Amino acid sequence: MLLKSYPFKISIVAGVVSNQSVSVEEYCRGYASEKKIARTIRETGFKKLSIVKPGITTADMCFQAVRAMLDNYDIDKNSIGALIFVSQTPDYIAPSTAFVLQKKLGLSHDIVAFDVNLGCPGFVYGLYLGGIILSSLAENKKVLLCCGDVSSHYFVNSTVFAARAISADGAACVLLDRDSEGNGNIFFNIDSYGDKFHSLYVPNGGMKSPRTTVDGVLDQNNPDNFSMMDGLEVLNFTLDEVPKNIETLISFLKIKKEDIDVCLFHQPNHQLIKALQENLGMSKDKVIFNSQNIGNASSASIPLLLTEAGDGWKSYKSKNVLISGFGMGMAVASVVLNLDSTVCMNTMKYVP
Amino acid sequence: MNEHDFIEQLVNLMDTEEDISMDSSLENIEEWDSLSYVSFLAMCTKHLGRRVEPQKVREAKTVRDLYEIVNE
Repeated sequence: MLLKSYPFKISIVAGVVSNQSVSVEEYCRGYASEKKIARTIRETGFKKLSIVKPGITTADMCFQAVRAMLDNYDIDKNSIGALIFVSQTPDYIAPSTAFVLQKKLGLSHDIVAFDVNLGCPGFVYGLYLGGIILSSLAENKKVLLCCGDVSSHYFVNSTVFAARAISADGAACVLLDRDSEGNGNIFFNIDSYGDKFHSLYVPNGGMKSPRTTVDGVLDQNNPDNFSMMDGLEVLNFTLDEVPKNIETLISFLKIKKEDIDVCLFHQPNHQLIKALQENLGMSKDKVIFNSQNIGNASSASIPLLLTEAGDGWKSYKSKNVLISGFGMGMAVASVVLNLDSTVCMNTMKYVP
Repeated sequence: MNEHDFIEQLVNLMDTEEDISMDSSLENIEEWDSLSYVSFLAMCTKHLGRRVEPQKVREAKTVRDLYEIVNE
């Protein structure tokens, strides 16, 4: 579905990965044959993974990202009119972790704060919500969008090699401002496929069915306690629905593929990024894969592409940046944004 | 593509050391996994100049079934 948002810009991006960067080869030893591990690394492109120590949460990493951003760019805390926290791995069942972050950051009571339970498509959903909310706030107010997941310990089944070799922990935040430079309205294309929710979901832990424990600790041997994936179904979805969604958006915007300066896609793995690039007929140099030392960091993977570019982002032509998040839901969310004036901080390591 | 060339390409794609014939069951080839699946779809796109229905690949049971998709 095509959606309109009033003009906004991403002013600053900050991202945090774990201070533990583990080599996939070592981390996966014993979970598959050496040959299979080597082949998987070659195809996924992930050499190292950002894995937090158990107990470190998405909000902990978001907090560091936001603090660095506020301090470095001298941003008035009172100018933040909304805090959106997009994550599948909140601190508590309730309330929204956005309130926890509000408290830790010392943000004013004059704020709209809430969580959004979304994974890989979540960053783009967050931009859409941020854009809509921004237009309802006073003119000098900003929206703080936080996102990410810590999946490696309590979310994906790390005993399953295919999940272990790619899942990573990461968080990011972006500051959204009204765009007064006359770039015009922004259009999103968001498609949701609830009919496929079983393809990728966590059966236990909600009100339908609690997580099971053994002697008071989470039962690692019950696969229902972790995300279950119908791999081929998810691949089919990605290869079919993502290009369709993007092509609809591009043709609505009346631009050509050659007009796209750069593509920031969610980073499930290198092989899928390459397949998407080929299916879309997009030129190779425009589709970035730059998560080889992070892994698949869920909703943080797109903003982490910007912080991995860091200072170097300035050298990219970035008037028409195609951004697309896809996965858990299932859902695909895409947008074309002008990121010419976006300041990208360099990726930070988590400081315990 | 003839059968011999196809098997050679498939063996390269899966990076397998097993003996593969047209009648090999995909279920029994350890390397026929999601990585090979995506590589195979890409190979089809390259060879045919168009995308094939992933569902057809998913339904394939033997190497011959895959061969038929490439040669349709």
